[in-house]
Amino acid sequence: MKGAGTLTAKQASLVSCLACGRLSPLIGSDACPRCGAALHSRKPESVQRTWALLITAALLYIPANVLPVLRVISFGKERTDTIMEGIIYFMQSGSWPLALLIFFASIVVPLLKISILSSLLLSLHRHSQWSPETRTRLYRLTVTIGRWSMVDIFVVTLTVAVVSMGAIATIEPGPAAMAFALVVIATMLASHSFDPRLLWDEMKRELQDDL
Amino acid sequence: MACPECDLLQRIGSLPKEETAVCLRCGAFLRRGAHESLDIPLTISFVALLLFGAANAFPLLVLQLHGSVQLATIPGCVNALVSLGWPWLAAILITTVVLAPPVYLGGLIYVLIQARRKHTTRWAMRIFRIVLEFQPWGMTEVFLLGILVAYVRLNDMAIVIPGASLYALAAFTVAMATLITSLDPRAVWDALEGGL
Repeated sequence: MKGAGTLTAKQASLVSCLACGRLSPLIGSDACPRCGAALHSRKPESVQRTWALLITAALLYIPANVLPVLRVISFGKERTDTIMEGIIYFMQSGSWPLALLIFFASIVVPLLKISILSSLLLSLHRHSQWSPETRTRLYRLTVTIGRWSMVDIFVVTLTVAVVSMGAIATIEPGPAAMAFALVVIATMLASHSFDPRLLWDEMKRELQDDL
Repeated sequence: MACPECDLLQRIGSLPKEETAVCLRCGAFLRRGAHESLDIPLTISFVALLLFGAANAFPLLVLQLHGSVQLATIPGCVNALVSLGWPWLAAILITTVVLAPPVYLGGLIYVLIQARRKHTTRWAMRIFRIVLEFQPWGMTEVFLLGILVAYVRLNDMAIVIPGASLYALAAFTVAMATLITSLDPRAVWDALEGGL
């Protein structure tokens, strides 16, 4: 049993609660009567907030890759590793799958997320004709893959904690670790603040112009 | 209901078990045909909570060095990070691995019991909303992958043996995945609203 018209909730003067899905009248509803969440027809200042978080993430991505993520001092010798050097370390020790995993999680995923979200925002600014279905799919991709970037932070966290417990060597997280953690958090918040419904609002207006 | 991703209004009737309803226009997930009884997600929640307890109680990695043995548990790692002067690393670990899962499961168990008794309060709905918002910040599956990578790395420095906690954590991740597919949040909302 399925049925759908061509109306969106907004056009029907309704607002759907993003927390519990209940529909309320658009006018005069501030909070959802069922779950108490604040009601907004579209996420407030979605475009500006997403831009701000994306720019933050893009700027932090630079120190995250240039500065060392791990500093090891053993037998008086100091060695620092950037994210890329960590990947090369795994390649040289023959752990190709791990090298690939870290490369995807730490280098590819954040870049992919930042570029997808910024092209979605640009498509909104330009009133692009690009299929909203494809764009919504890309958006969904950024939501799903984003969390996996945290892998390298967990590796650094565990290495530091376990090595210091065993007193094998002196090991410290480098400045890049915090920058990278902030990149992951900022991109997660950016996907969260982006409202994919904006991609469809545009199309609706064009259809109405044709009629 | 309106699609949360494209706002299109559509009507969805009852769904057969293990089928999902997606938006006709954009393909977003709308509803899941879950088990009619809330007992199944409730049971899985209890099992997951037990596994989570085990994952925190047992050592994650066992370190052998110069004849001495060091046990690294998850709370032990948090402690070590704080005392080493890296509280922000500890904070990430606490939020995503130590705090998010029990808050999510504890809240969910409370909400499911309320929904089952068909007698609910506004509180249960507020709690359910917070529980659902906490879900994306629980990252145990990502953490599990991080342990495997760290394990390979640490093996170059000392003899490392995976501990019981690692298996408990793996089982917990499976339980969480099963829990999510057996639960339809909208059915819970309807049950809560009906019991008011």
